[in-house]
Amino acid sequence: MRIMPHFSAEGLSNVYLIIDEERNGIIIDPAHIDKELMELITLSCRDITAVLITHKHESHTAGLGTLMKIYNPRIYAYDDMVNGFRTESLADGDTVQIGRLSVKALHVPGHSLDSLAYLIDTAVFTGDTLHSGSIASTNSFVERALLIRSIEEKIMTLPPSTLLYPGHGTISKLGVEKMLNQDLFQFESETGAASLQAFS
Amino acid sequence: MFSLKRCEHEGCDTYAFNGGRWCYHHSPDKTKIKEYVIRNFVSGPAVRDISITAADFREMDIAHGLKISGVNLAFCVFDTCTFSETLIRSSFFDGCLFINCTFRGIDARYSAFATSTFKSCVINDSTVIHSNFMGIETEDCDFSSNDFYYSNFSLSRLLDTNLEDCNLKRTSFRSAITKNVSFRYSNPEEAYLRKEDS
Repeated sequence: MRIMPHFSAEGLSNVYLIIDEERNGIIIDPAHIDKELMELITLSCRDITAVLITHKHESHTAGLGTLMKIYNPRIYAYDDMVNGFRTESLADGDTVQIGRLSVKALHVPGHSLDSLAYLIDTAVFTGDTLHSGSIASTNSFVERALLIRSIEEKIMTLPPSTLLYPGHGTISKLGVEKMLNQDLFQFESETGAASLQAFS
Repeated sequence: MFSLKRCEHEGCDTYAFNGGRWCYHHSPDKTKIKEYVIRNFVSGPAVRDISITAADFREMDIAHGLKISGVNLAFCVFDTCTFSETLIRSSFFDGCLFINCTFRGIDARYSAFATSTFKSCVINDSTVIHSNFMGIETEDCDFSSNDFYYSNFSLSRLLDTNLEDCNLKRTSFRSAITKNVSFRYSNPEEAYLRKEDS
């Protein structure tokens, strides 16, 4: 498997191109399809067989229409429609085989109710849930608590060497985030563990 | 991309070397593995898809224009190594110790140097964008004349370090500790510095 990050200047989002041993390509969050990304796809893989959507916000899906004009991939997301395209809906814990790769969906609500992270081998693609050094924005304290609880349960329980590929910002490893993610620590110190129990 | 197969040694969370059974540390052929990696670093033209952690590399003159991509070199020690015109992509150097190292004219993107320590190091005339320097410690370093666009230095501890004439647009210094750090001719006003952190 190869993981090739691409920075989309529109929305400052990360698009990931993942290629298996048979050169099948998967796009995670087609934020914006520009010339550089098209060259990367053309040079590296023979086809785009799947698109994984972490959540439906425009900064992560704006390029889906362009991609669908060129390729004919299956779209995977939490909801059954994204930008007018029908998807194969995934729930928490669902695993799908895409080419040679096994992809596990982790439902991590908080930033949005449809937020999914994808675990492929030992790499986790977190979209707008966990970023390096921070967590995604939320609209309320309750949603923030929900997001942190989801991250703690679904993502931070993975081994420390797990590679972190977020929807915005730089790549990292979960071991680094366990040590240094300020938003997770700050929330713990502000609320204590007891308040998180209220959501269980 | 390096093999994501983990070392078979009980309780070891490290990635195996080249998809084999063991990580570098638990391999019975440590010397052979290290020699192979050094040969690739020194003679080039590329180092791709390897994982070697907690190895020490001393007085290496890295091949000019070497392409490093998809590698995991976490917790390695680089002592008196020179990187010139090196291209680094999607690579992990977290927890490394860099002593007396020089990086000149490198182009690093989508890479992680988080929690590393840089002591008496120079990074000059380089593009180091969209890279993770979270929690790094620097001492007596010169990181001048670089483009650090959208890189992350949050929680870093920068001592006696020059960041002069650097592009710091969207660079994060959230909760960074700086002492005797010069930002002359740089644009820290476009960096992310919370008021309470400065």
